[in-house]
Amino acid sequence: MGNEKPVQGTKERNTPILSVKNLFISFGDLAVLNGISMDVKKGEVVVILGPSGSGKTTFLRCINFLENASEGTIEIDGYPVEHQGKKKANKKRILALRKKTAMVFQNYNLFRNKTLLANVMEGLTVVQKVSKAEAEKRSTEMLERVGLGEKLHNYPSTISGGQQQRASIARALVLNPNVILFDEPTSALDPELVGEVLETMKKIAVEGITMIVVTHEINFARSVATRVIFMDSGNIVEEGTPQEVIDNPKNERTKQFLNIIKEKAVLAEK
Amino acid sequence: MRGLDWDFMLENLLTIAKGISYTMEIAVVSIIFGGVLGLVTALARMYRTPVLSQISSVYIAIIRGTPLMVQILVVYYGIPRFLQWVNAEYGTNMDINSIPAIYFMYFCFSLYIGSYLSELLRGCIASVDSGQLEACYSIGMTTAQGMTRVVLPQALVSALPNFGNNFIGLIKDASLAFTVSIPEILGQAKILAGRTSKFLEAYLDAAIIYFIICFISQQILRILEKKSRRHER
Ligand SMILES: Nc1ncnc2c1ncn2[C@@H]1O[C@H](COP(=O)(O)OP(=O)(O)O)[C@@H](O)[C@H]1O
Ligand SMILES: [Mg+2]
Repeated sequence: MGNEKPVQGTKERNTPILSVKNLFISFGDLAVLNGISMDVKKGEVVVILGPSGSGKTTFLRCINFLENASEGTIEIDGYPVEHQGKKKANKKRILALRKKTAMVFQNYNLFRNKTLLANVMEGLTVVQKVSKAEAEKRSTEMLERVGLGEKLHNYPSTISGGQQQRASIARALVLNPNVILFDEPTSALDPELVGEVLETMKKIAVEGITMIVVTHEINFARSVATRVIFMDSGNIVEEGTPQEVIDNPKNERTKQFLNIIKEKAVLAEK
Repeated sequence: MRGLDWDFMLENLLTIAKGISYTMEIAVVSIIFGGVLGLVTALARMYRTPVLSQISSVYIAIIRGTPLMVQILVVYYGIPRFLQWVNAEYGTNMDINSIPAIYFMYFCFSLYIGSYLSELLRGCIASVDSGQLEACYSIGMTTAQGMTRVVLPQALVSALPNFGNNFIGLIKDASLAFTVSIPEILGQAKILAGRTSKFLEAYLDAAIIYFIICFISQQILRILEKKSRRHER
């Protein structure tokens, strides 16, 4: 890392790869996101912290239009799409935008009717129209990279949660998206399986993949995040480097939340 | 049993077995067309497709609210009347008498089973975890791609046992076709009984044949079901 020359002034470094502007959404009377904006640069790993119900999942889902916000714009790699609430934004544009992102879900959501290899190949062959042979080669390599080279022909139901989550990371990664969204990727896992998934995520973070990660794993945030965001009640309350937000939080709510999380982490280690 | 003509039963088992082809044709054709009809109407109602979803709901309500026997009679006497009317109204020249009666039965049984399969499929599609379709969206697939490649295959696997039961049900329900002179299994038995006055023997033969084909069908369905589930849980 030390001998790498920083590239300054190029367009790539300065224009964000992902830009969220003024995102508003409510469910009935409940305002869930209150005008959130965020820019993410290429290669950044943004960790989002926040109490349950603060709108983290909803935020990620709005980025790839799994949820339709009433207001706001999502721009990825220079391609903006506007949220238009119930009217739903232009289908074609949403589809184009989704091809620039991938998502890793809390409960994996691997296709149950397909083997791991078929799961990973699906996006390549169906969406990117890559030839079957090429897709198979790349998917196999990707599954080997996340340590599942032995399980290519297994169905999701026959492997552990940790393995399923690693396969779903492979399914996202193989598409070479501009940004990968992780929604609490380890919180459905048994404690002994959390490590293998976090290791996989660290590995791809180091490779320069742009990631937005919602997680309660403080140590992961400390060692991998380039930026930490603390969300509460649909607002970004505090943001900065891991050192700033995790170790020296300024906001009262951030402090409270981190105390609880840190206590839990200490208890878990015992 | 005293007085039962065993020789007669044995000799005529094959006569009555001639009806198997009609019975199975009705069951197979109807489960296929009914399956397609059920799928289309289920999707129309789930996605609230304008017009089609209302038509589907009315169709299902009518079929489920009337006895199959009545549907058979209405179709059998109704379709020729309808075609006559079309001929008169539009100057067409369809030869109504040349349409084999079995076609009316295909039509009737497909409509009948389609309404039940529609409900079944709707339930099975709805019970596929919504995360599956979201995962499709997340990698850039369209709704149509996600439905055909991920959701429907899973829904069909969970629908298969019930599909099987419906198929067995159809084999038995097809016996009602004898009322409009289709020489299926029961029809053959009735003809034989009328000719020889050995009523009990003829109907017992029919019972034996129904039992055998239902039993065999059940075994085949069980194997199919097992195969389709090999990667589930
Ligand atoms: N589809 C929905 N319908 C109604 N309320 C929802 C829906 N999705 C989320 N919510 C509500 O929005 C709030 C934020 O939820 P969520 O984004 O899941 O928070 P987090 O991921 O931070 O726990 C919660 O109060 C939740 O109950
Ligand atoms: Mg959440």
